[in-house]
Amino acid sequence: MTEQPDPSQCIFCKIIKGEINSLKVYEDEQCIAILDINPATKGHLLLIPKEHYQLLPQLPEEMMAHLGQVAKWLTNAAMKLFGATGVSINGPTGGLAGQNAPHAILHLIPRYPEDNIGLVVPKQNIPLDQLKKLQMSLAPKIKELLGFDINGDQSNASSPQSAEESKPEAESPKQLPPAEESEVRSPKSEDAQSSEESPDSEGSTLDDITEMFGGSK
Amino acid sequence: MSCELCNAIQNKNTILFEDEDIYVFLAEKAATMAHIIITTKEHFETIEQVPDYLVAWCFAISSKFSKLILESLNVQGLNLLVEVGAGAGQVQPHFVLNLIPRVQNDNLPLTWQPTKVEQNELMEHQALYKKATANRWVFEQKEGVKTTTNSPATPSNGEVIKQVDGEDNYLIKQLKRMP
Repeated sequence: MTEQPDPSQCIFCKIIKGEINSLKVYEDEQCIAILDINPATKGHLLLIPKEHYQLLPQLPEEMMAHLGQVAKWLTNAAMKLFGATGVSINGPTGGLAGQNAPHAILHLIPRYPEDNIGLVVPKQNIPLDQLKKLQMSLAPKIKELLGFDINGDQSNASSPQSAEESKPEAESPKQLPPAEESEVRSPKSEDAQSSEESPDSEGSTLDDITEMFGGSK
Repeated sequence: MSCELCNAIQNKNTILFEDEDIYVFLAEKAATMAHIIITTKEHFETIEQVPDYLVAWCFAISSKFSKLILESLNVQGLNLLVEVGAGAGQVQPHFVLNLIPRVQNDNLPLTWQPTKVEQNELMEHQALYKKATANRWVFEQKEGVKTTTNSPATPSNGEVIKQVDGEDNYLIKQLKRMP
């Protein structure tokens, strides 16, 4: 997915235009749904916005909202039609997440007993104090983007839980290159990520927290 | 009450956002750090029971938080994941939309192997689906429930990260660093 993002070369755009064949099952003004020809399981659908966006987070919110509604109805249909015991709605962003085409796609994957595919969300316990640090680091951006004040809403002390301030997650030896990544963040620095509550100290916290990713393995 | 999601909504320990209908927070039982959960305040067991307009709102909000994750954290990807039903791994009987940040070597089992299926079998499946989608779907709307955050601070939805003059925007640049 890292080739030149030229929409005219995009296979899914060609499918949408009808230049390439597909097994279409649904269409409206904003999106289409087609069967995956190499499915994870029976009934695996690709829900695709008609407009070319490389990544799901790039979609306008109303379009994402619409996709969600269509996904709900297609999920209901899949379960009834194929007797699935569940459906995994998976929207991968980035190759690491499983995105393998340069066009935003929502996968609807019916699940069956012993289907032996992945798509299981493992759960580990994240220490509350680390989450609270992260929460406070994100607060200014959330305030800016959504006008919502996390702190203003914290009427409940929740301090009993902080008693379980066990040692932080074991440091992961993985070193992500924060210096390089911060280049990417700087275009957005105009959003004054660090202006309001001086999370400069929190900037390092975000890096520390990121290094704890994948600590379970 | 025994529903973990309802408890989280009550406790507000790691709240990120809420309004009358939805609640967004950092998961304590999580796939990874910064795993964000978007859920409805009302106890709907699966997506089928959630009114269309609330599904829409959850997905709209997920767009906002997806951008937030990618912009604010050193991550190389993201999975939006809804587990519908026990067969998909749903444990708590309460509708949840997961945003799971990804980094290299996180070993999260969120991939699958493609399979080979005969064309005629695929066409049978297509025919089944098409019967279900034959009539135009009309989604339930409700006055006052939004499908966009419309925050004035952000340029019109998506515009800030649309490609300009063939140049990759920052989100794509960031994700291109992945192998």
